[in-house]
Amino acid sequence: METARLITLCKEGDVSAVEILVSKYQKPTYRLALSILEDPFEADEAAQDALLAALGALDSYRGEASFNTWLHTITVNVCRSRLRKRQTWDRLKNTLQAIFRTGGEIPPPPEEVVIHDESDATLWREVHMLDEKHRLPVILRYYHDCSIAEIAQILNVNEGTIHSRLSIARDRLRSILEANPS
Amino acid sequence: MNPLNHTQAHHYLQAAADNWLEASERTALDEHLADCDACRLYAEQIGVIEGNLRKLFHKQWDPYNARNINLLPAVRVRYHKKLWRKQIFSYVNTLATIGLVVGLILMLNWFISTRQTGQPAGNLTPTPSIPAPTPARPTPTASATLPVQPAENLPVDGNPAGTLAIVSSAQELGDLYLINAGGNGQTKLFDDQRSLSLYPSWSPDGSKLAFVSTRDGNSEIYTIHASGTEPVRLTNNLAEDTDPCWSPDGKHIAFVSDRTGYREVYVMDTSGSNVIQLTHTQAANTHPTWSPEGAFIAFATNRDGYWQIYRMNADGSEPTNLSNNPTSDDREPAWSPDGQLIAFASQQVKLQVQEIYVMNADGSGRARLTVSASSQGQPASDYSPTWSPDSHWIAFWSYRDNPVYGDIYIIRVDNAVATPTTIIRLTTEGGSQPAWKP
Repeated sequence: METARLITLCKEGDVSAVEILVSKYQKPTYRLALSILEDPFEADEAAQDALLAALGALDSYRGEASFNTWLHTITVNVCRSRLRKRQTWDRLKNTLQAIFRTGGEIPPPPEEVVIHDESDATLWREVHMLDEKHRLPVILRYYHDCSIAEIAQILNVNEGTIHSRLSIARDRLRSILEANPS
Repeated sequence: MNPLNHTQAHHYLQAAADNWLEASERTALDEHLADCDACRLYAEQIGVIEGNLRKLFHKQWDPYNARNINLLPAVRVRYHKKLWRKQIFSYVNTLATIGLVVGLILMLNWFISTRQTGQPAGNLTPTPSIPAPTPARPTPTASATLPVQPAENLPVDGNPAGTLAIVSSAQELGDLYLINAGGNGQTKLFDDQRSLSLYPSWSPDGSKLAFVSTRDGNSEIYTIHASGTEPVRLTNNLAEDTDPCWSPDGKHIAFVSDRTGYREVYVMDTSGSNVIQLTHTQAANTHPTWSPEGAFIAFATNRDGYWQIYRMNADGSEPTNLSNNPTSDDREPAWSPDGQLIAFASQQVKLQVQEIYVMNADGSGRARLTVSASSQGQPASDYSPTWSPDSHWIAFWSYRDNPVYGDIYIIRVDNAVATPTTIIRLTTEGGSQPAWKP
């Protein structure tokens, strides 16, 4: 069933259509959430949140963008919100550890541990050194193969800004190659 | 196109990475790269970075994405919970809206009632709303204040005669009593401890009384024999029916009801049948009183924005403003038995007290009879004039000596412009709304 028809049925309260729509879009939603949050369990919850938010906001979907792009926008917003909460929690945790000296070294995230190739590890670190407004366009461009126009719609900024952010990000990452020519 | 410098070439290479390069720019870039080793290296590095990013992201995340992702069961449960909450919220919202609308209607009703009666709706005591005597106000014209004499000191000549029905307010509830105009004797008409009995009005032959009772939950018109027996309910509806006045021929009773949402004057047979609405205004119309020959009904109305005494034909036609005095609020008219005068209670706009006035039946010759001052010298209003059968006396009630319950007084009126000479207090333990027996 085509997406437009599915959306119409969902708006009319057809529960079967809701299930078909969720089944159809759960994987790309999870994939996007995982690439932003980098935590499979949190990505699972974020994808559910995004799908539910989209179902609740179907009446506001006017079809200006493709449904996939519209859903990506919602998913990115859900993930950003979770990232902000996570940053706040991390700051609190670090502060508490500093006060009570309970910590020692904070263990690296599991994803980082599995990178054995040194150049990959360096690139991975550099990607994570990018701030959110530069990292998200990179992820959308090089993992989700979004066009500049799609990224602009998802992040709700103009195309020139996306191009500018990608250029800056590529230049910073390129400096790794200059420092490590091997 | 001019040859590119290195900075321009880098910009073009970045644009190329985003598929943002036009054909002419691509040609210029190719020409520059053909001769520039440094920019070719930059182009290679960009390409490597792009390739490495793609490889790295897929390597990191594809294993997770390769799993069988099934969010449907969790989404299904949460979706249905959300629908359920939305439904509950919708019900609560609807109930709240209904409650709000009902509340607004009740408030509006209360507001309208307050505007019309000067007291909150639901207060079944139809005693006129008056300010309690306040010490701040001086006596308007103290020199004109009449000396109040006790009833036993009445002058021998021209003694008032007859009987008055009054509402005794000495108890918590209003009860009907009969008192002697000569000042002695007081008889309770009937026992009714549970409700108010108000607004007595005599039948022309003096054998019966019409009055208002709340014994059935709200104000309804009743009749009763002068002996206090055989009460008969004439009206029966959820509206407030008040101010009964018996017609001179004894066949009809005029009364006031708010059954349309506004207090209008009605007339009915003495059996309670054939109810006819006489006034049709979106205002208050109260205290109907018949002319002695029964051709007219005078009443008070605020249809002009302030209270005035109007007269209409007995069928409700040709309402005419008799007061024509925008500087006063005129209420409670009482037509004299000889048909010459109409007594009424009037409050000048600038004053807080209400006095008893008379005017000719055509509205001319307006004259003040009382100057209200309490025994302590404070202003106190006078209410509800009623005529003696010989048209020489007017009874009324006032808070001048009894600021809690009020008492009944009579005053001599020889003609419309005569200066009254004597004011006599008939009750000492509370009384209001007198009706002089014909």
